[in-house]
Amino acid sequence: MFIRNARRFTAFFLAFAMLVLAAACSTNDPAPATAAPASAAAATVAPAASEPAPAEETAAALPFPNQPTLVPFESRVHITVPVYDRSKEGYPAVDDNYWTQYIQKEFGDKLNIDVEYVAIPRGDVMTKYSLLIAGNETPTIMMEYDYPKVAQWANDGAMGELDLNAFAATAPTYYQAMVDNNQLGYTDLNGKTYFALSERPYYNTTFTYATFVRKDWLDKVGAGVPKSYAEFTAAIDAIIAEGLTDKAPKGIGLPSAAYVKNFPFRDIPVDEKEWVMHSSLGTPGFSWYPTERLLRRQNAEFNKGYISSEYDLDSDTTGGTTQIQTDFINGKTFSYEGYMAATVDWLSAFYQNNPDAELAIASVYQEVEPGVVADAQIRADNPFGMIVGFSSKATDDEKKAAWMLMEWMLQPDVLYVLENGVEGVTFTLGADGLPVVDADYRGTEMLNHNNNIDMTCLVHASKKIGTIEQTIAAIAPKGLPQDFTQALIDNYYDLKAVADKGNAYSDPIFAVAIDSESEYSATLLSLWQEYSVALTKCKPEEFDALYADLSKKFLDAGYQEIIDERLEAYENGFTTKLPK
Amino acid sequence: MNEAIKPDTLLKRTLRVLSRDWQLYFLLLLPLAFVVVFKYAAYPGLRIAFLDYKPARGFEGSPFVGFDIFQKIFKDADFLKALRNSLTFNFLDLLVGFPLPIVLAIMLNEIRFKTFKRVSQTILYLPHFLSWVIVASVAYALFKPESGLVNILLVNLGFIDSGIPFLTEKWHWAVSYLLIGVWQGLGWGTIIYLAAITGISSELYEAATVDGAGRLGRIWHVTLPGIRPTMVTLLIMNLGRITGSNFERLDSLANVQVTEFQYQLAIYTYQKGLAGGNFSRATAVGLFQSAVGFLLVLAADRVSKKLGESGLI
Repeated sequence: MFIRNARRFTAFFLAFAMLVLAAACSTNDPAPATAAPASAAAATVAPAASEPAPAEETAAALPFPNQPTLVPFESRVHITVPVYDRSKEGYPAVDDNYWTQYIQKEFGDKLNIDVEYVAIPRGDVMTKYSLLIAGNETPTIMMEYDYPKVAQWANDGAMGELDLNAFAATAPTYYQAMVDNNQLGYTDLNGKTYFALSERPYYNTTFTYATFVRKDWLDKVGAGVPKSYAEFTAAIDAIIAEGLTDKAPKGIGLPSAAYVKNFPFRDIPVDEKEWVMHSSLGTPGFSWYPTERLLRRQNAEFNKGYISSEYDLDSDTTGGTTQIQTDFINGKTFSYEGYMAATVDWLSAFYQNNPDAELAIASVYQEVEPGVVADAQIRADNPFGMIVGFSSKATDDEKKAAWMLMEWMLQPDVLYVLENGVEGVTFTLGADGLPVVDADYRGTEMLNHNNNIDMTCLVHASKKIGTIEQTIAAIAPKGLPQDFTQALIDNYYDLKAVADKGNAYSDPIFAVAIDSESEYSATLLSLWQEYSVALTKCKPEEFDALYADLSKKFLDAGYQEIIDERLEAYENGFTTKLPK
Repeated sequence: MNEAIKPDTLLKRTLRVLSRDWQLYFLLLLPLAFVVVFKYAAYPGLRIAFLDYKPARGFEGSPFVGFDIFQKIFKDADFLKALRNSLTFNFLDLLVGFPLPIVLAIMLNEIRFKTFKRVSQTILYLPHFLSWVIVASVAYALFKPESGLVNILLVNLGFIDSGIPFLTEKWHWAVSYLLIGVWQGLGWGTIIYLAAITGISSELYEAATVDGAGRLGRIWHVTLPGIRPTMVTLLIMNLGRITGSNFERLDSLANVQVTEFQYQLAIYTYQKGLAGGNFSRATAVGLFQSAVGFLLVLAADRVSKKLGESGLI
């Protein structure tokens, strides 16, 4: 009897537990659009819905007296804002941290807006957006650096049209910055307005990106920082001969994006039609002659032992830490490159592991080789940073709230805090009055990747303070045994010299959507990864035949359709032109 | 009066059965809800395969295109490559992976030293609980051509001059892929067969022993016939997965040098469907896989019944 009862009790208990579990799981449904995000719960209480209507308010009563267009909503508005998740160790969650809460408290709560951040994996942006759109959770703000991606969203109807007049009325400072930066020509697609554009300071010089080389190794082999390809190969050969590393000294990775670094390999001047067809961040320009030159050089380097035979296995295409970075940090490779900020974690880690090492910034002329690379050429950035659009599902209030966030964030005092943090905690003031960020601070208030750039990218692509020298001083890495401020300034002027010669230009921008690009770009990126490795690793005598074969396959796999469509857009006047 | 011949209505009989075993039916509720919610409730979404579906436009705003998506897929060389690879590797998986758990189950069953048996069994089925990401990470750490531990060992022992490309050359990869799959699933697969063997009456073994059957004779004449229905059921179920594709396994063991073989339907669906935002194509491929799997299950069931087995359906 006891056993029977025990069985019954057990069965009942198990069934009950399963039902409770099911009920618990069902509460994981997406919160309704009006629900407050978790981060908002920790913030201060929102103003009551019964606050005075905007018309009745005086400027002094507004939460931001200097920004009269930022008027609190009468009822709570919820917006979602994308933020890149770079899977970086030691950093707080990108969608719920001190700074997301700060924005909620200092902006959202004062204007009756819930600001929810949505993490977007940096290495898989389109998939994440696709899933959000399919799940009816399209972020209120949709933004990307690459035109083909935003064009796809606009073309598919995920992104709604933008009323620039209404935008200017709510975000006058932001709009004026677009006017001042000559960006109004980039707001349209297929004859309709979709985009607002953030600022990219000094966009034609890529001064925020730098390549570092092992100066101590160069000293040991009696070489200076290479200023031509001949000097570069001589230095690498000497480094190998000297046995300064037990690994292949040149760190390269599997391509993780469509960008092919073939700018130096293009003829000067580049043919405009070819530029329109092949120069792109949307689809790799494989089968174009500069890419062939690049791969041929890479093949030669691989066969000389400059590049690891396992480089394609060691790469992490998700945007996280890569083996090349790890190898550089461990003092195994000659160079590594990345964006500059007051805190550059891989540089700090490098000096921790190699306290006696010395670095230098590589010359932009390092690629020059008569007959192959005539002169230094660089890819200038677009004349804008983030291309910002808004969900077609967003209500007028939600769009307005998003514009208000952009307007608020653009204010210098707001940017100052978001990019430097809390004085005395995350930064101190230097002798020149400029903030010096503490690169090692790991407390609650710590800044996220690159001084919160993945939040402030909504309004500009990099920090900008006064002159270029002051700007570089602000973004130069701090707390390292070496100070690179002057080297970065010199690097800027080298890049500027290239730009002044007309050798810095970006990719074409299309005012119509290239449909075949949406169709084939994912497949072609995968093929590019496969083919570039095959052509890098093959024997030099096999290169020509393999290149011809793979180029044809690439064209047949959809690339021919893309370049035909791009050319048609060019001939119909729907693209930007090369700078004259 | 005899209970069995007492006239009764269907409703009363059902209610009686329900009230007698109500705990069991209560327990059944959640699995049933799971199947309804996650399997049948998703069926209306299959119409995506027949629409030029854009998530932002929704079902109503996406135009009906009939079988256009399917026609496009069947003309796509990448799909045909993915299908060919999926069929080939699933067939090979079945060929290698199906009999081995049976052999292992029989071997484990014959072990008389119980502690050894239990420990072996646990060790054998532990890999099943490792995710493919971990399995693949370990595999790469072991089998990389230059820095893999196995290759370093073989080179240092003088067996080979340069590393074997276990995972970086397509034919080697194919073998490694299959064997790693077998290693991961082998122990788990034995559990069902061991359970089936446990169900065989010990009297049959005693009778066989009396008739002079040795150990192999008992296995051949008692154990194998005893687990035949289980084998047939599992075979039929596995045939239903012949067009299936395990994304996690393929993606974890991927590298660009083996795409020729690694490009299977799951990769195709991910690349051209999810990453490209083309949900119609992804759904159409999924529907095709399910339809073919279903037909294969029906056919295999029919064949097994003709051969005298009870079948699955």
